[in-house]
Amino acid sequence: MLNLKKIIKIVAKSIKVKEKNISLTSKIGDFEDWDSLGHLKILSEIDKITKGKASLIGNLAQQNSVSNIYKVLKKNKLSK
Amino acid sequence: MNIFKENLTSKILQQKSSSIINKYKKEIDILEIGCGDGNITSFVINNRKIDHNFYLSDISISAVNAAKKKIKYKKCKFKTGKWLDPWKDKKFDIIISDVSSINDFIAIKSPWYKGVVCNSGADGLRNIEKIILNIHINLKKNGKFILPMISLSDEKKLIKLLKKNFSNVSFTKKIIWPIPSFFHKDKAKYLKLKRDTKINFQEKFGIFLAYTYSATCYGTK
Repeated sequence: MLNLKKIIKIVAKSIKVKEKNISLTSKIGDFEDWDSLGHLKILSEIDKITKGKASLIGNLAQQNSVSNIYKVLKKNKLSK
Repeated sequence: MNIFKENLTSKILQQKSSSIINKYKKEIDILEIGCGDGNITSFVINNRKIDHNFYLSDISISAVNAAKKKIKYKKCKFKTGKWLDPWKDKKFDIIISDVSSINDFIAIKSPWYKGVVCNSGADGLRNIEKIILNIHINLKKNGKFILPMISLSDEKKLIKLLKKNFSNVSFTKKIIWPIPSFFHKDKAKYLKLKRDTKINFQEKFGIFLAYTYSATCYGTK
């Protein structure tokens, strides 16, 4: 199961930045590679780890920050 | 008439065209049709290893003027006209097409084609089909044709058409991208187009996803 630390790791890897630069408040637009394509990379990576369950969450793409992604995954019991 | 500007498809074509062209050790003739603001040729020129001759055309005079403004390279010729029509007596080593090739209902509804001619039919292939069928007239014997493959057109039909007309066809990796929110409004219509295999897309994470890649073809049959 995912947790906040893992989510931050996924975000950092997907948008090619160091983990230490990502926090709970980091959001789309904060980094050069966190654009709509970067956002999709993050979601696809989360989807892989959750074995396709994340792609079924209808409002996941609208979650534009680490904090919101984490909250929605937690609400859907895909993160603790 | 507005001008079609750089997008993900253009970027894919920029990278692919540049990598192919930079393998040539001697000067060649390169044509870009549907050049829009000239961003693909401009990228190729800025990243070239040696000098080449560049030729650009677009159906829109505003686009040709924008391309002229963007590209200040001396070995460049510009013409206005549809498909390959402006280049009747000329053969090229490379032809790059960025002519509109998505379903025209989507084009009309999208923000990409505001004031830009698309007119590519339900399968998105009306323009590219005409180009493929006539490309042997303008492509040199070992010439290469580079074009975008977009899932918002009939991809299977296009692949079949390319394989019928070229002995060698290769593709780059697919890049998935989120379709802007305008797509949600006519969801039922797009689902029907998908069922009819005119377009392809997926619904994931509450958004719609399409994909784009490029094809490189040579050996006209």
